[in-house]
Amino acid sequence: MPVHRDKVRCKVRLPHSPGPKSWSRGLFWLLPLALCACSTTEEQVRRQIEITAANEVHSERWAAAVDELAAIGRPAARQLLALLDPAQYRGVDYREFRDEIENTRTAAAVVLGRIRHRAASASMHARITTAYRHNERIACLRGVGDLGFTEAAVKDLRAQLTDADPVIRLLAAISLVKLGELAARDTITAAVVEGGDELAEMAIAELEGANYHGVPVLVDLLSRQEHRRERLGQALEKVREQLVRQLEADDPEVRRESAAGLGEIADPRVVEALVGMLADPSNLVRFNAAAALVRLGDRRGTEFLFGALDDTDAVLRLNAIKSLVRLQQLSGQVEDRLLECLRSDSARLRSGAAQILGRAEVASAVEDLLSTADDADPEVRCNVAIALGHIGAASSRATLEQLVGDPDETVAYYAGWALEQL
Amino acid sequence: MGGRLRNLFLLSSAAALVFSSTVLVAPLAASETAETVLIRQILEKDRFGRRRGDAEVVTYGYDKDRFVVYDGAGSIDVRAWTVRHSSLEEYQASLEADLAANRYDISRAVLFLTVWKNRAFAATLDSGVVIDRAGDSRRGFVQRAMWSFLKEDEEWKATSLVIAVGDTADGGAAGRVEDKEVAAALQEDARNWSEGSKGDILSGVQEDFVGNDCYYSSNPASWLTVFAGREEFGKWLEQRLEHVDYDIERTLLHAVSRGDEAVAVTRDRITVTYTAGDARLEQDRTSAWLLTRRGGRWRVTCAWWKAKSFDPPGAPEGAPTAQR
Repeated sequence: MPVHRDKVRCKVRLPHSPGPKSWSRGLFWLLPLALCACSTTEEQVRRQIEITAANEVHSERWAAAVDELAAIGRPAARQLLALLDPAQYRGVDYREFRDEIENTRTAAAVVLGRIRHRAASASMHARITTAYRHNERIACLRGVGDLGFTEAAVKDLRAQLTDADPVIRLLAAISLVKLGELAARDTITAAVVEGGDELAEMAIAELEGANYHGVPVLVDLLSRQEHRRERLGQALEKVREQLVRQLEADDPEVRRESAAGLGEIADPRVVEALVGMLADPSNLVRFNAAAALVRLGDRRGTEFLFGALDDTDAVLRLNAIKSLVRLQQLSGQVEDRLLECLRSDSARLRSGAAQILGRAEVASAVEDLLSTADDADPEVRCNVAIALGHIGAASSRATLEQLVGDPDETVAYYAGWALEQL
Repeated sequence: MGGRLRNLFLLSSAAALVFSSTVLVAPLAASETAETVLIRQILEKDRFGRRRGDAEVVTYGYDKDRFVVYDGAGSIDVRAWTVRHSSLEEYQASLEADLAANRYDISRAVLFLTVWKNRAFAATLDSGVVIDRAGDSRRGFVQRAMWSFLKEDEEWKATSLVIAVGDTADGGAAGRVEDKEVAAALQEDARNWSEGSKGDILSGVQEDFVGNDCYYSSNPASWLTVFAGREEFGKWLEQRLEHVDYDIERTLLHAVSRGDEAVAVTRDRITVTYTAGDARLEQDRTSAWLLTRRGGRWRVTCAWWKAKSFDPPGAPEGAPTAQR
C-alpha cells in the first residue's frame, strides 16, 4: 500500500535522552517530522481524490474513497474545497474530462457535507444550479443543508424549488427544512403524497436521514396522511432511536434539539430518557427535555417548568416562560395550571403566569386576568395589563382604564399601551 | 490681443486638465487589476499609434523576439487561419507601408481580457474609418482581433495577434495540410502521449508554452488558460501520467506555415484509463495549435484544446455547453 511507503519515509530518529539543550534540538527534529506528517496527509488526500476521479459516482471504489476522505476529516477540507470551484481546475489541478470533474466534485461535496465544513457553504450552494451536472447538484443540495443557515444558501435553495426536476425540488426543500425554513414543507408533502413510489421513498428516506430537522414534517405527514403510513412510521421510529442516542451527545445543541424532537414525536417510551435530561448541565437541554415531557403528559416536566417559573434566578424564570409559552401555543396543555398560578401565593408565579397567558394570547384567560388586576404586587399588575393588551379583548377596557390611574408609573404606562391595542 | 491670447491659453489649459482627469480618473471595471490596466495601456497605445500613423508607437508594447501575426481570414475556425507575419520586423515593414498609405480613425472596444499568472489573452473590436492619405477616400473599418500577452521581467508584452477573427456565430472553414513537418511534429506529440512519455511530450513544447481549454465553445470569453509555461505543464504531466494512461488517435485537419511559424488543427480521439479505477473515458477533441521552429524542430507555443468542432454532430461531451 502506498500509505505504508509514506509512513516509512516519515520515520525520523529522535534523540533518546533530552539533555539541557534538548529544547532547540527537539524542535529541530520535530520540524521535519511535522512537515512530513503534513505532506503525508496531503498525499493521502490526493490519492483518494484520484480514486474518486477514476471511478463512477456511487461505484464501490468511489464510495470507499469518499469514506476514506470523510475519515480524514478537516485536514482534507482545503483540497476538497478546491474541487468545487471550476476556476481551480487549472495548472497542476487541471482535468480535461468533464466526467472526471463530476466524480471529484460530487465526492468533495459529499465529504464536505458529512464533515460539516461550514466554510464550504458558499461554494456548495453556488453549485446547485442547472450549470452543473445532476450528481453534483444533488451532492451539493444535500451538503448545503448540513452546513447550517446562511441567507445566501436559503435564497439559492428557494430558487431551486421551481426546478423542472422533482428530485432537485425535493432535495432543495429538504435542505431548507434542515436550515430551519419550513416554508418548503409542501414540496416534501407533495413528493410523498403525489410523487409516485420512487420519489415518495426518496422523500421519506431523506427525512429519515435529516435527524431532528425532519421530525416536524414526519409527524405532520403521519398525522394527516393515509398514504404510506407504514413507511413513515418506520422512518420516524428510526429517527426516534437516533434522537435517544443523541441525548448522550457531547454537543449540548445536539442534546437540546434531540430532546425537543422527542417531544414532538411524543412516544411514551422515551419518558425515562427525558427525565434523565432534567439534570443535564445545560439549561437549554433541561428546559427542552421538560417541555418534551409535558407534551408526553408527564408531570415531572410540568413540575420542572413551574418550579423554574418560581425560582429566584431570573434566567431560569425566563427559560421557563419561553418553554411554557411555546407549549401553550402548541398544545394548550398548561393552561389550567397557569390559571391556577394566577391565584398562587407566590408573586413570581402570578407574574410569570400572566406573562405566558398574554404572550400565548389565551382568550379564555381574560376573566382570571381581570380578577388579578388589583394584585398587591405592581409587577403582577403590570404583566396583567400587558397580557390584556396582547389578548385585546374589549371586555378588559374598564379594568385597563382603572389601571391607567395606578399609583405605579410602569403599571399606568402599560395599561395605556394595552388600551391602544383594544 | 495679449488678453485674448491669455484667455486662449487658460481655456486650452482647462480643456487639457479636463481631458487628462477624464482619462486618469476614468472608472475601472470591478474586475480590473493592475495587470489588466497595464495590458489595456498596450492595446490603447497600439490604437493610438495607428491613428497617428506611427508604427513605432503601435509596436511599442510588442515582444521583439516572439511577436507573430496570424490572419483569421474572417473565421473563428482555426482551419481558416494562416501566418501573416512571422516576425516583428516583417510586421513592422508591412505596418509602416500601410500607415503611410492609410490613416486609421478607429475606436477600440476590449471585448474581454483574462489574465492567468504571467499570461494574458484579450479580444478587441475595432471600428471606424480608414482614410486613404493620397485620395482622401474613406471606407468603413471593422475588425475583431485576438491578442496574447506574456509578462517577463515585470513587463507585459504582446506576443501574438490574430487579425480578422470571425464572429462566434460564423460557421466552419476548410483546412489544408500543407506543411508535412508540422503535421509530423503533431503526430509525434500524439504518440508521445500514447506512450506516456513525459519527457518527450515536454520536449515538443516551447518554454513559454500556453495551454487553453476551450470547453467546446467558439466564444473566446469562455476559454480558460490552464497552463502558463512548460514548467507548469510539466508538473501537471508528472502527476497526471502517474494516474492516467492516454491513447490518442490524431487526424491532421490543417497545417500551414510561414517562415518559422505555423498554425495547425487536429482532431483527436482520446481514450483514457486510470490506474486507480475502472473508468474508461473517450473524448473526441478538436484542437488548434500554434507552433514555432527552433533549431530545426517544430515546437508548440500555444494549444487550444477542446475547441469547437465545426463539423456536423457527433459532438463530444455534451457540446456546446461551456460547463466546467
